[in-house]
Amino acid sequence: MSRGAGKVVVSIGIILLGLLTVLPFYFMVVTSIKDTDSYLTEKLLPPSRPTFNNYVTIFAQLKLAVYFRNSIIVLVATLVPYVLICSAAGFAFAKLNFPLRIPLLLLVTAIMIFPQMVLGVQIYHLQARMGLLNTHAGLVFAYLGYFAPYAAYLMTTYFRGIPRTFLEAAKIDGAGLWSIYIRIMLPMARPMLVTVIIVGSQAVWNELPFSLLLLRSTDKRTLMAAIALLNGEYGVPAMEMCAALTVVALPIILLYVVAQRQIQRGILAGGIKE
Amino acid sequence: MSRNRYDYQAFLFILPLLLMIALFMLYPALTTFYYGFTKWNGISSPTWQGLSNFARLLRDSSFHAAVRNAVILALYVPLWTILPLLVAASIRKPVVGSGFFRSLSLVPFVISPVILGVLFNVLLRTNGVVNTLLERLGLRFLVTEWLVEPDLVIHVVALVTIFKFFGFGVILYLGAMGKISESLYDAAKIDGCSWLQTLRAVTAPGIRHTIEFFVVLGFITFFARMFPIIYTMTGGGPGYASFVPEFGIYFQAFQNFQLGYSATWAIFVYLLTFLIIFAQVMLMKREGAQ
Repeated sequence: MSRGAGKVVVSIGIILLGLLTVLPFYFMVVTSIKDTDSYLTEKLLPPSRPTFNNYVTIFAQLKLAVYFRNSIIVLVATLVPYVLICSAAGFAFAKLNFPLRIPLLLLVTAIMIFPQMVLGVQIYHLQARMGLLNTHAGLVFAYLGYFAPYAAYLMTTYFRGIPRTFLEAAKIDGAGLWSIYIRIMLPMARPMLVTVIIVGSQAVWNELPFSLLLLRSTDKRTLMAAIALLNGEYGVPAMEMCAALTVVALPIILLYVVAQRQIQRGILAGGIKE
Repeated sequence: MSRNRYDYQAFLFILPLLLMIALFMLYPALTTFYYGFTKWNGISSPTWQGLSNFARLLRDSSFHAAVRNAVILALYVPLWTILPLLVAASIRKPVVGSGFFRSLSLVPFVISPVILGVLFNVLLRTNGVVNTLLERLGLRFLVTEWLVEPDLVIHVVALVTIFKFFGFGVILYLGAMGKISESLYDAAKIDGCSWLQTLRAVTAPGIRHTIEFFVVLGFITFFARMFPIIYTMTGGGPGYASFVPEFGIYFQAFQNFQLGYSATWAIFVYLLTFLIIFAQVMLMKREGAQ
């Protein structure tokens, strides 16, 4: 086989693979705009007369708007402290000298591996005793504990790349650590902060076990918990289920379209050791 | 950094993180190891049981199913590892279409496992899209009850999980391959290495740490991060056909209200996790010694 022909085969293969990767989501969208008749007669192709009735139905019947609002509340309430916590810790681990620095950093990186389901039941009882159960604040705290260590690790690796001379110069000028952190370090770390925010948003928006366990009432529920329970409890038709999935997936798809580079950076920063 | 010049203010910077970790990770983790040895319904105070929860676990048929399924899932780690490696090695040098693939490859990864689980639950139903597609392609003999056949369902779960992480693996491997010196590839070419030989002699050793990372991620995912996708796709069933250790924790706590016994299941999942970490540390040590 000549090298040119080999390249053509690879090209065709890789394009098909790309299409295969999104094929389930094509079916998700196509099914969501079908009425019962067109779904029963034709499952694969788009309908000749698309309908948006399934979307109207799910918003009317499933309180989707409430779940949407809850998910956004939890997301915003998590992101603000999450960014502050992980960037402050990253700055300290990378640039400051303090007792137990290495053991604590090891703890932060090792703890990332703890499985969520194992923590979930105990967090449930802890929060019951603290009066945090079934509150958005409780879920936010659980997210900070679970997602901030990875973000702190990413920030630490990034701050390490910033030369110490910036820090020394600012110290000589008499700047305190807080003003160095806020005025020098945070602006310089902007690319990684964006990455951390995007990775965190995706993680929080998509999260299941905690949101299922810690929020017990319908009016507090997040989108993912609602969708997960929906599938088990009621006989929702495929078309309406797909409409709900499309609505819930849309914010993440949009984020992916806008911030693909940062998402890739987040992957590479976490998985590749220099 | 000199030892005697500590910035004690640093503790203020790490305090919020440590507080969150201590409260919502370390404390719950440590209490598990106490409650796992007790009988506790969550309301009255727990009573010490010694090892009897563990004896019960070993006799529990749902535990046998969970272990069997965890082992089956773990057997998919080679496929999970190698599939993205082959694809990444094929498009290490960009070809027409590789940019197209790269831009779509992460979609299943960024989408919630909840969405993926529910979606495949819909697509894999008896009269669903997948079976229709197989019929149209003339593959009628493949049409089956994907989520109902007890011997099949855990394999379907494994494949959907691999599907979710496939693009992530490719992007990760490609990122690492970019750091391999091109001169090694030139040398391989001069030596007349075939594509597969180059992969084995140059590419795979060059990204060994990344492959190790991805293998560890595979074990962690299959052993301890399957709950969202299985909960939404099969609910652990039919029967115990896709029941995994995480489901034991969940069901004992929230259906049977046996929190002590739930913690016993949790200890088992911790042990699996520690086993993986231990294996990884040993591997790193051995490499360090060489």
